[in-house]
Amino acid sequence: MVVIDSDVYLIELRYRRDARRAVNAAFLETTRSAMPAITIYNLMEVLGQLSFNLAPQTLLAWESWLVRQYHLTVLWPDPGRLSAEEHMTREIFQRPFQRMLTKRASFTDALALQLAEDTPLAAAFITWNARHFREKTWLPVQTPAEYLANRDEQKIQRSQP
Amino acid sequence: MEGKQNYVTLREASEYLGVHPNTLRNWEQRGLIRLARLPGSRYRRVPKAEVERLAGQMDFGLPDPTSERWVRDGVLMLLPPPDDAELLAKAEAQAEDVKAQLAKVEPQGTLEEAMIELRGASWSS
Repeated sequence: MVVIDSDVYLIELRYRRDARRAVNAAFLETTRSAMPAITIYNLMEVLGQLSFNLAPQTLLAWESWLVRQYHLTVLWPDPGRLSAEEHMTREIFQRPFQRMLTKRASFTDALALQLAEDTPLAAAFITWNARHFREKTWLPVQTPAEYLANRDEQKIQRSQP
Repeated sequence: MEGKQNYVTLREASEYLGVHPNTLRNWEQRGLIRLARLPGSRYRRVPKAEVERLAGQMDFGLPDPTSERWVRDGVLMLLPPPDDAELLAKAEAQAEDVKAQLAKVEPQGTLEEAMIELRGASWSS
């Protein structure tokens, strides 16, 4: 599973003149079979950005054109046995604030990274701003271009006798 | 294309992973595993790389293939819907429509500007 940042979907859907668009699209196609995931925080960030320019009925169909189309698993924090108050305090205040103190993270960065780190199957966090995130998480961080290059390299190694 | 030696049968894969072959078929429906049909064969094969990937994931326990939800270690994972050719074609058409709707209102700044606004940091990695 790879956890994918908002910027990848914003380039795919919104910023189609971006020079990275072709690589971005190849990455999304490649990861379709590798259990791509997005945190609920990043999903809401994408929908929020697109809401300025999409008709409400289009926005309402997000599960089709976003989740189904890109085969996304959506990650949510699970409260387990915590009360709602304990869970909310821990998830939207204590843990992100700790990361802000130690890693200088924005609120969304902190929320998304903690959920990605909590996800047992997460093998990497994918974002176009990998340099920014490498200082803020222990998860491997790659750009879509790096992910594709690494995958090609692994293929070559596997094909060698 | 990868050679035959890079594939195993469904039965071999299921024995290695300790699951029923029908479970692998079900996982394919859910998009959790990629199966292949080799030229000249009507049977599905499993790429060895997929078996290795799944074996690694199974250390953590795979989701119940009949469930849309999977809770693990404090994270709730809402799995994507099973692949359905008709619904997927509709989703693809809707995604193209979304892109077309958004293209009509361009230009509206760059991704860099949007991410600075969202995250407060430069996005030029």
